[in-house]
Amino acid sequence: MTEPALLAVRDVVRAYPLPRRHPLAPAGTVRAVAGVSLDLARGESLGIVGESGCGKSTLSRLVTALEPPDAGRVHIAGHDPNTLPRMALRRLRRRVQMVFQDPMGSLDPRWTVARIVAEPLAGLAPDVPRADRRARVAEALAAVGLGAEALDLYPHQVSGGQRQRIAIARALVTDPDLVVADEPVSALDVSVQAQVLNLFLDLRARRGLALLFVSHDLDVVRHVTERVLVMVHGHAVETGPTEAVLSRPAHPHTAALRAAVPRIEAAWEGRARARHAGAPPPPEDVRPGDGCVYRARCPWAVDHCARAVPTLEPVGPGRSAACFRAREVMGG
Amino acid sequence: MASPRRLSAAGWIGAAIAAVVILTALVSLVWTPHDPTVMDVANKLSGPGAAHPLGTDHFGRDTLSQLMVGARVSIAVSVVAVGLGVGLGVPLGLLAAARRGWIDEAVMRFNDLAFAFPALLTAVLITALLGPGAINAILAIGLFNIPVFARVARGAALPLWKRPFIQAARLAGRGRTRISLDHILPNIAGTLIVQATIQFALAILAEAGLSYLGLGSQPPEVSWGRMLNEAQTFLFLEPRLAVLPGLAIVLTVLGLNLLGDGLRDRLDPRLETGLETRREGG
Amino acid sequence: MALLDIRDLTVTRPGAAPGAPPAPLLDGVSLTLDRGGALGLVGESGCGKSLTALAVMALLPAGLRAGGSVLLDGEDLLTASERRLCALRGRRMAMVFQEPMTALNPVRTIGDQVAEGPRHHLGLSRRAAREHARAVLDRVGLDPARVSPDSYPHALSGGQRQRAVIAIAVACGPALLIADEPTTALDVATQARILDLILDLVTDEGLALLMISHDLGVVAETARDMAVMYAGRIVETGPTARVLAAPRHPYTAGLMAARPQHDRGRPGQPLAAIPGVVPPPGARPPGCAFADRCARADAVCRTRPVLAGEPGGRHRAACHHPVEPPA
Repeated sequence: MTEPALLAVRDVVRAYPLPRRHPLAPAGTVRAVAGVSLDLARGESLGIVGESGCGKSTLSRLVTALEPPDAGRVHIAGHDPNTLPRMALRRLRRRVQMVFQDPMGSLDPRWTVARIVAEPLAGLAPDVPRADRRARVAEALAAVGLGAEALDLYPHQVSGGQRQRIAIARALVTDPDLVVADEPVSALDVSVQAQVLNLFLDLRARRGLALLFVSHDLDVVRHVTERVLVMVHGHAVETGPTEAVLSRPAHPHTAALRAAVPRIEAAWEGRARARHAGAPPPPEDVRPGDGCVYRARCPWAVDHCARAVPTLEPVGPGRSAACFRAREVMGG
Repeated sequence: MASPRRLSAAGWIGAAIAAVVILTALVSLVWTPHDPTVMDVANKLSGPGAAHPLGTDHFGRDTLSQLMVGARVSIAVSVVAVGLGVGLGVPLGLLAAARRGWIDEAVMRFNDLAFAFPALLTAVLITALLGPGAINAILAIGLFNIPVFARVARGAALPLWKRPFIQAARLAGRGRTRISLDHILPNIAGTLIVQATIQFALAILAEAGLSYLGLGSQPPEVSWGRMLNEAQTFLFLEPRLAVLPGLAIVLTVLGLNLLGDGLRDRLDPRLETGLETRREGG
Repeated sequence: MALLDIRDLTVTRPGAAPGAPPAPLLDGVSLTLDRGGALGLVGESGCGKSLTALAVMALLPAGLRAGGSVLLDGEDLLTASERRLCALRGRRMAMVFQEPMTALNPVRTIGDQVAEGPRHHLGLSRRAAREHARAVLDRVGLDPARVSPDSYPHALSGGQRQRAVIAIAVACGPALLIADEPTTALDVATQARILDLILDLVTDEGLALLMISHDLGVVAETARDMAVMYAGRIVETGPTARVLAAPRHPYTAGLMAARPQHDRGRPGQPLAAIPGVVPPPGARPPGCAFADRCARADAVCRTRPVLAGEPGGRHRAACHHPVEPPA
């Protein structure tokens, strides 16, 4: 029998209520994640990219079982965290940890670094004796390049880059198989960002960690992930090897995202403003089962896009895209 | 990073007044110039002098000693009443914020109900029903502190629940109760302390009010409110007897309010000013 | 005469404890911006780029002391009266902030907020100001037919909010627009659209633009000239194309190398991070502030302050051992 995949997500849906326009209006919902599937093997890395509001952060909360899906399934090493009894869920949680965007906000300002990093041990690993915790914490801090002198500091006493290292140390302390990182470097300065990205690369190489890396920065995703999944309005519209997808997009939205990245070369080549995608429509205007979700602002849209919903179809080795004109997009 | 800000001048004055009142109450436990309950009819209504620094009342009891013991009663009643409010209100507020849903609704509607009654009048009603006395005064005042602290605790806790460090704690396998105690409570402590000083001042006023109406502490117990009550007969003959306890109440309440404002400026992060930058350096 | 001429601007923070020496936050910053020009100001958090912008708007936080001069059309803003500054802010110079949500008043409609400046500065009637606001909102891409000027900020998306902030800034036709990290809170796609808008406004209205960003790409796309700041000083300045094609200061070169680049560099390989951290104000070394993090630094760098390159040259770097330009 083969070992089950580390992470298998099948058609997950997560909807949130929309604010009512008036007290008697019917309660509408918006599907932040509208049927996304993905697989991640041990030691693999997957980037999730998209605009703000595309559902990528919601997806990361579903994967870490911070929220249950309304439909569909999340399986971590063959278990559904949302149906597990409490003790078994704790054991499973040791294998999946998370790093958040805002390094200050993700650390309790009134706790010391030692206590912050030890929290997952205290909550998830009752078998680790209290006396050993400090040693395990120091080990985790060492893994992210921080010395034992950080143990008794408070978050406000260290720099932003160090805070993010502390958050990563907390995610590593239970020795997880998968780390979900939600925009972990977008609040950091360029030089510090490079230090933290190097740390992720290093941890992957040394610990065989699987990484789910959520970001809107295509250059960063290209640098740290092997595969990528592009989202629009809660739908996965393209997936495949990162390098291939980002260098030759098959979905117009991927192409638009790529064109939007500011380039240093613009200083002498001039700014390329060919195909900036239009602004996303408000969430209540995006209705399911109503043609392609992207067609309203798609430069490639044709009549057919309004009549049928494109599904993810293979477009190359290990690649698929949800676009009727994927081959043309790749060619052009 | 923000350096620890100091207490403002007004805050220090408030702290000093509160300290003097507390110290006086403590001293009265072991020493007063005279026994405040012993009558000395020969020296009744005597003005300030060597034997009685602040004079005597209509039974010849020493006014200074009465004020000192009165501080003790005022503080004891207020501490227990506010303690009742904190002890029951804060857990209720934390529970409402942690659970949301129908528990939250129930707690908040109970609060609305409690706020719909004028606090002091209901306290009068309660003591009138249960009978006058310091213990019932404590119950009556404490009851109205519960919704105040429940609301403040819930209001301060709700935004915290959306913060990433709470999500991190949930990923670390912590339950809602543990998170409320370990993460939420320390982070809302500042707000609660500020509220407590304000409620403390209100409780002192309420106790004085009830005692003045004859519903609080009963003779021969001494309290500032009772002193006011007894002084009203002699208001024009000997205004000193009303002015002194009145002054003690006003000063104490003023001091506590100053201290509360000072602590609010010092502890409340929402009032933090200065340059905020979203990006963070290495 | 340049539109904006910052000469030797210093900003100091009084010592934390009584008797402690004041800490310099900005140290001899000089910049010029011509009418209709575009200048990019790049640096990491705490380098003083936002403080420079606030000094130009004369909006320095209380307690900070400014020296040197900031000339707008030859008029020194550091010595101007508050009354005069109020007449200039919004009228001759305007600013766009990083967080559109906090830059907008949440309890007033966007139309109302855009109309405020024209009513005050241009003396328009209430009705004329409202018409003017509709036109300005339309100009920044908030078509009144689709996004009502009577909407409140919370009803708008992040990109729309930033458009509203830009509308407020340009409503009175200022000569100088300062954009302080205008796209940092937005995602890539929205960022591209907001940059399009800013560039269109600069071209069409003849605005001069001071673009402040941590992102070299954003500056490359929007500014003809640029200056790099580090620890309160300008370390390199010149035409953007030349600075970015061949950076002379090791810090600029380091910033460029630290970026994950889509065409250069191999995915999965370590990035060239700059070791160490920026020295905090008050703890800056006597020589070059970058010396402790610089691979080219020697004993001279640690002790002798650097002067801003050969004067007169258009591309200058404040470095004892500048990177040689490729032959």
